[in-house]
Amino acid sequence: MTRVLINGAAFEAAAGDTVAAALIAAGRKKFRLNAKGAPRGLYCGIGVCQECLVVVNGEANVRACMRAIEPDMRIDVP
Amino acid sequence: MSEPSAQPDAERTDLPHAERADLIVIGAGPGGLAAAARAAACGISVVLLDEHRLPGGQIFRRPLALPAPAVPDYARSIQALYRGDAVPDLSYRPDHTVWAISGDNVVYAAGPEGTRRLTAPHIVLATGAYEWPVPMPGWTLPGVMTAGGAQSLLKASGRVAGQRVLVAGAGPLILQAAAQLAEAGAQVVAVLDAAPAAEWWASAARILAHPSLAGEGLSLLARLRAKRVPVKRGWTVVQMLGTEAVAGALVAPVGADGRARRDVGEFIQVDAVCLGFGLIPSVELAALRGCALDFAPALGVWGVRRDPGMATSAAGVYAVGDGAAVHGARRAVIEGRIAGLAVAQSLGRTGGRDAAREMAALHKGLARLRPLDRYLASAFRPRTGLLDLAEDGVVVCRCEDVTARTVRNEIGNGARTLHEVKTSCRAGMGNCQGRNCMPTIARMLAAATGESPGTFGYPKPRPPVRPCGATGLSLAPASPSGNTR
Repeated sequence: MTRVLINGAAFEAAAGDTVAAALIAAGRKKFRLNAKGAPRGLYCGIGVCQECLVVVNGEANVRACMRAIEPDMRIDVP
Repeated sequence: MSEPSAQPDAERTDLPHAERADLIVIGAGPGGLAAAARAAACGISVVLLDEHRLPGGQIFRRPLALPAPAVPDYARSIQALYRGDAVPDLSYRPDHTVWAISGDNVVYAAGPEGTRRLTAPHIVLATGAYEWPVPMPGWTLPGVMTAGGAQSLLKASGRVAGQRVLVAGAGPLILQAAAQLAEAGAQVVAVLDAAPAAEWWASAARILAHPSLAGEGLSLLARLRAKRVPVKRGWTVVQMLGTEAVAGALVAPVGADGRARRDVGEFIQVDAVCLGFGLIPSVELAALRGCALDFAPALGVWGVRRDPGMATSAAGVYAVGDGAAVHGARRAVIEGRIAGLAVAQSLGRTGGRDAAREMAALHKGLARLRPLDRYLASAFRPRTGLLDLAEDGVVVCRCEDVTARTVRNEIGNGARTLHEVKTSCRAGMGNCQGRNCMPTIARMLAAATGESPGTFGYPKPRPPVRPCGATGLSLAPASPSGNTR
């Protein structure tokens, strides 16, 4: 298991998970708000659509479906 | 973006040195792996670039922490690479996103250490496919995802997309996704295939001629029955409901005219919806490199024009697998081997084997898959009647939040090309570069004008075709070769 911080709260995700998998395992489907404030989540799941962008360790616009989790990674979602 | 320049990209001295190889393969799915393995076996130096952390493409996606399972028989030639065995003459680079190719075959790949430039006289594009977007009310809600995305999530991490899942679309992939989700513990409330029963069985009959495919199809149906997943043919989802995430879906029968009959719809409570209406080849790198594309009217998508040796119209560039035309993994493996062998032949390094005889055998293999090609062409045929679901308020371009109303207004105001729609309302100008909205907009133009969606061309891609980071952008190729339209 690998500990990540989702909005500051510790969560044990499976080593090798993507950020998207860790968020969904933690019961989070809403990954971001678009410019109009509408919720968006994982859509294509294969790196094409750019819908699942999240903030990881302060870095914005990270594709959650492509980025692997790392120990103590900070993932911020709305 | 840099100013265009006549200087060949490979010779630019203002940029980091471009690493050289005999062959660069882009994409480590079945087609790319097969091409890389075949060429490397001839002693050709191959660099294999892939966006993911593990090889196998979407179909053979697997958890990082577990050893690779055995691949099916048809994919034996890729087993060693899939397993991660070191292969002489082959350098496999996972986590590398190719975001541009210049006209002189310089490949720009963003990896963990930033963007690298690589060049080779031969390039095999094996970029795979992505799911047909079918805009409808509520389709942007969290919890609504593509069937392929849900499968990838499950295969890579064992996570199911939701507890009560509706799977809807058309063709074989939704059956596969539903079976896998049900077996992983999700309650799959239904699989809805938009093809009416008569059409569904007529399509399915096309693969009965091929014993192993027929067996695979029947076992899929048996797996769904074992999990008591109802398969409803001639039904579709027409709307997703929810505020923060999807909480329910409206489903309705599809009439003889291909349109959904919302007046007799039913509500189902769900916490995830997986959509799979067919696949679109990812041709943007081919288009950027200047490879000629062809519109396949039966499938309603653009593909890469190729000769029997998988060579595109661009010198030294080959295209294989679903990224060139959607035919599935079986065909991708054979096409990859053909391309790998064709590269070896053109370098005069086939390793003493009888390449002509091998090539003939591979083409025989392709011929045996024709029933599958015919089945997929029929199962994935465009569901134009479902364009009605893109009601005025529905978002068509997810990146720029452009609604169907706006697009229809622009068409009403005289926009007659994809480019005109794009520049007038920003649809297709966002992060995904129009991959998700241009197919819909082409159909909206087709509906308004009575022309084929192919009339409106393939929108000219610009680098970066994928995210590359700011440092990558500063290296952007000076002279990307233009596309046809």
